[in-house]
Amino acid sequence: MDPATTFAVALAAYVLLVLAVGWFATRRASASSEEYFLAGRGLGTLVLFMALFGTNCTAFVLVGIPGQAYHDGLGVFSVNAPIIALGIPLTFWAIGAPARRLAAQYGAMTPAELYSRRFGSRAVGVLLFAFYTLYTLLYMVTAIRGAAVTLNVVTEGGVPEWVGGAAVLVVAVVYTSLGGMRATAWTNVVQGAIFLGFMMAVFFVFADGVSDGAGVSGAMRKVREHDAALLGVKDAGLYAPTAWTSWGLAITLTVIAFPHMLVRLMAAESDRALKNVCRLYPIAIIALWVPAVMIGVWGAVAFPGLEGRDSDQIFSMMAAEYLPPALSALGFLAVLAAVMSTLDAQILTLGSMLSRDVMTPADDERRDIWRGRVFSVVIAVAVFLLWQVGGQSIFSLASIAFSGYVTLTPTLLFGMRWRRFNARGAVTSILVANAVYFLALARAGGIGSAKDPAWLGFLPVMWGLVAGVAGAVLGTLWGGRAATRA
Amino acid sequence: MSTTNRQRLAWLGAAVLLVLHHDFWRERGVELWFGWLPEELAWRLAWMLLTFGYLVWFCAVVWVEDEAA
Repeated sequence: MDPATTFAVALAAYVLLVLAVGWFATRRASASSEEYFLAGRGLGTLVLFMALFGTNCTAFVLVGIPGQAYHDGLGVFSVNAPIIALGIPLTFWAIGAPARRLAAQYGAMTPAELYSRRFGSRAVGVLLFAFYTLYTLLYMVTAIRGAAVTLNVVTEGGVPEWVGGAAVLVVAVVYTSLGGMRATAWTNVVQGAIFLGFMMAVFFVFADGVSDGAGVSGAMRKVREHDAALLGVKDAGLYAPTAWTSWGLAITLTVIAFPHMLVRLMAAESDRALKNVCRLYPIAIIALWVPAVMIGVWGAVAFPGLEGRDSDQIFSMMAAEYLPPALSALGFLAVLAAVMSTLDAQILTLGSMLSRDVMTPADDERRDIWRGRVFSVVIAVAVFLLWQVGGQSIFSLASIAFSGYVTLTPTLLFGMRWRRFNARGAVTSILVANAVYFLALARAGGIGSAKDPAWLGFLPVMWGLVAGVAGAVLGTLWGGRAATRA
Repeated sequence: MSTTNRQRLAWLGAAVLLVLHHDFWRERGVELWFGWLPEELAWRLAWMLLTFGYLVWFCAVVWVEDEAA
């Protein structure tokens, strides 16, 4: 079978598989709003882990991280992977576990709905929805671009980027709107297995390819001969102490603030399932991030001279150069799987928030579900249009959104762990944090400067977080004690 | 050990891990250990395995299931 046919067959098989899963989940999803939006709050350990990990990992890891490691070397692993291996599980405990229990108690189906009911304030829900939407749309653009770039490179320009991106959106919308949360969680199991398995397998294939058969040790020696600095950590930019701390905060705290992650935590069947996920997280991060970073580092040896965002293509270039056609096709499917496992969750979550937080939930649950489906299509169209006018590299776009989400974490944390925290504190925190964040972005150099220092060497995210905490405390304590819990 | 002491120990453990992650006091070399493992990667992987152990302990001892929010 020639490479083009192999690629087409693999792609068709993958699309049919995820659509079949979506179709299979349709019957149960249509039973009630809770089934459609939260899979009946019954995700067990395996599905929950794959749903969370699959949602957490997108083009940012498979395309953006190799692209960044191409320029910055192993430091990309050092500044990202360890701190999220610790921070994400701890935020699952601090925010996710109580959010799951309170959501079930209130009958809330979206994060904005949960906090709105927690404070007895519609304003909190609408405000959360607004910022969730802003940052999630940006994040979704990175996912689409990652898939589109990869498809374009793999087909040697045969599939224009806009066509690839549109096709990915259409498939994701179809199976998501068919089967709701259950479809996205089940497809995430398939998708996670594809991209995690692929990355672990090709680690050794790429090492052999780059070193002409001398394996990992040969590939590492080649890197040292080519540019030894790639095996260390830079001491400027993102790797300077203040930026290192700021970025660590951003990438750790941002994940729990993704609405599409929090809603999956709300769908967990028990605390026990959540605990199991937390135990597995560090090992899964090692399994995914080591190959992702090494693809970029070894790619710098194999394809020197790429500049700027051109390095986002290194994953596809390595796959095309060193993998047999079948594995190369699987490489594209891995990116596609990582992208779609996040995209479906984002589409479903934003659709559910439009349906339940902006509009009043319908008395007829079937109408609620149909509204969610229609809004999924609206969101997909909005993402496509936003993508067509965007211009930043994947990593830069993601970092704007990642840092922005962090401005919401004081509200998310205090809302679960501080009894006196009230609606006034939440509104103040969100508004002040975002105002300061955008001021800091402007100070750092503009909208694409989330990774550049604003004041005293700290990144904009740090200032947004500090302002959010201050706003939460001052807003809550000013005006005396208020009723905070239903 | 009381609940309070377990929680204190958990905070202390997290603080130690954070200090070890902010390792600007460490000489960051580019040597290959055992001929294939970059020193920087070895340090980070060791840290992550320590984190794995910490989280296993945390989930078993500190995390109270279905505690009141």
